[in-house]
Amino acid sequence: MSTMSPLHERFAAQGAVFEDRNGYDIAVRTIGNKEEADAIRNGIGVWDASDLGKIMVRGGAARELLDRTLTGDIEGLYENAIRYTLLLDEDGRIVADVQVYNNFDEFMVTCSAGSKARVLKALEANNSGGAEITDASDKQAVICIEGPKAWQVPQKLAGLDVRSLRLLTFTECEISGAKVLLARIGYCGEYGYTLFVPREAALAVLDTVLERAPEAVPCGRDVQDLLRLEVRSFNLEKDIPNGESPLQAGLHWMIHFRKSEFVGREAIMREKQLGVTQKLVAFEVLAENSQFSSSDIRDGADVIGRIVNFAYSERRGRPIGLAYLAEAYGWPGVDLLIHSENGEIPIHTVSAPFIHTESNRIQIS
Amino acid sequence: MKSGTQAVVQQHREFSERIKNVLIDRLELNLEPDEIAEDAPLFGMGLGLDSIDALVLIVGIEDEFNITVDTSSHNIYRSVNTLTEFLIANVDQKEATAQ
Repeated sequence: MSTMSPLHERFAAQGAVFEDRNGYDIAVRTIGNKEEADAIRNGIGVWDASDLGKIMVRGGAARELLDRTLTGDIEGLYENAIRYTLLLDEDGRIVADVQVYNNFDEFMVTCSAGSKARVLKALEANNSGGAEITDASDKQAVICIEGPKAWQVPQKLAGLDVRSLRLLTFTECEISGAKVLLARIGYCGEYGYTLFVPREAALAVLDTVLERAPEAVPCGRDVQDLLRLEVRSFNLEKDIPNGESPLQAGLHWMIHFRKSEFVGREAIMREKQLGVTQKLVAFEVLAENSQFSSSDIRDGADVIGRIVNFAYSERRGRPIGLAYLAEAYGWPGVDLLIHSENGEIPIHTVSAPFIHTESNRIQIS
Repeated sequence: MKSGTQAVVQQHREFSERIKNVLIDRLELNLEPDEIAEDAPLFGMGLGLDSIDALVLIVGIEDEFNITVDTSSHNIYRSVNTLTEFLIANVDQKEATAQ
């Protein structure tokens, strides 16, 4: 039976459609994907991410364990800062993307519900120093607030001067009498804030969010895939179908190459030395209304890549996607063909992101 | 591979390498060129550059490619790839390589 989010009741009242995802009953749609995408791209969207894995790592050995296990620089992670990084396997393949929160040397590691067991297992396997590792996923609800106007919400909720809350930092505040961890982190290329709320206060805090920001639209999870794709924000479930490496997926920035140790380092340094054989590249379909299900990409008769993630983007006015292409083709400006049951469909490789968001243009005032 | 495709890729590869070297040299990044993905965001989540870095980068790009860059066109600076596309479209090839 699925675990129910503490926010379920409110999303149900909005007419949300729920689906079981990794054992959690998740609101996948509310008013419709188009309307929800418009809300997050033009105003404020709010969604339930309570299924997020939350692992607490404490004790004198905590920082060293995380630094030795994950690809990012945890040794140099400041207090109240967040590191977005990766867990790899020994072969250098991506296991999970994780965010590490440093709360005065007590660390919270967040990851998708689907990857939580793998993250826990890796941390426990590398825990030679005796750090205390606990799964705290069910203790807190998670409310995500994102959009070009989302920066107004923390001000309205907690009177915070949000200009002082930089990207990938967090603070604690009180909302509706509850102690809330407020993080500035988003996923769709807009101003994004994530609230970690004690489970018992979840409904009251969500009600306060919607009351103080009445223009905020409750959204489902499905629209996230398109919005993330539009800005090429990493999507573990879509972008890594066959355990590809971060160098192939273009996630170099999540790796601290100067570190002497992390799980998978040897394989990554070897791949770096030899050069990648394939790269994840953005493309757009040249015809506006193409239908295709095949994932093969060809240059003439030769199969030189495969599509892993695609959707129709209204903002781009055509289907867009990501494909792994042989390195020699893995650059913008290349014309290729999707071999489909309806014939050949021309595509063109492009630079990411596909769109430039409103949040990139405006300044918090 | 068609020769046209080969030429597009070759030009992109060369410009990307030069941009990465400008990034590393001017911003004194502790990185090697093959540690920067061409589509990775330069600002915010990604390389994490800030507005001061942006000014230094613009001067570096202008010097390297002998071009004047519109500082208000933020979309040019999203990634190495967006910079490359802008430069390929706007740089006088002979003049740029003569620098």
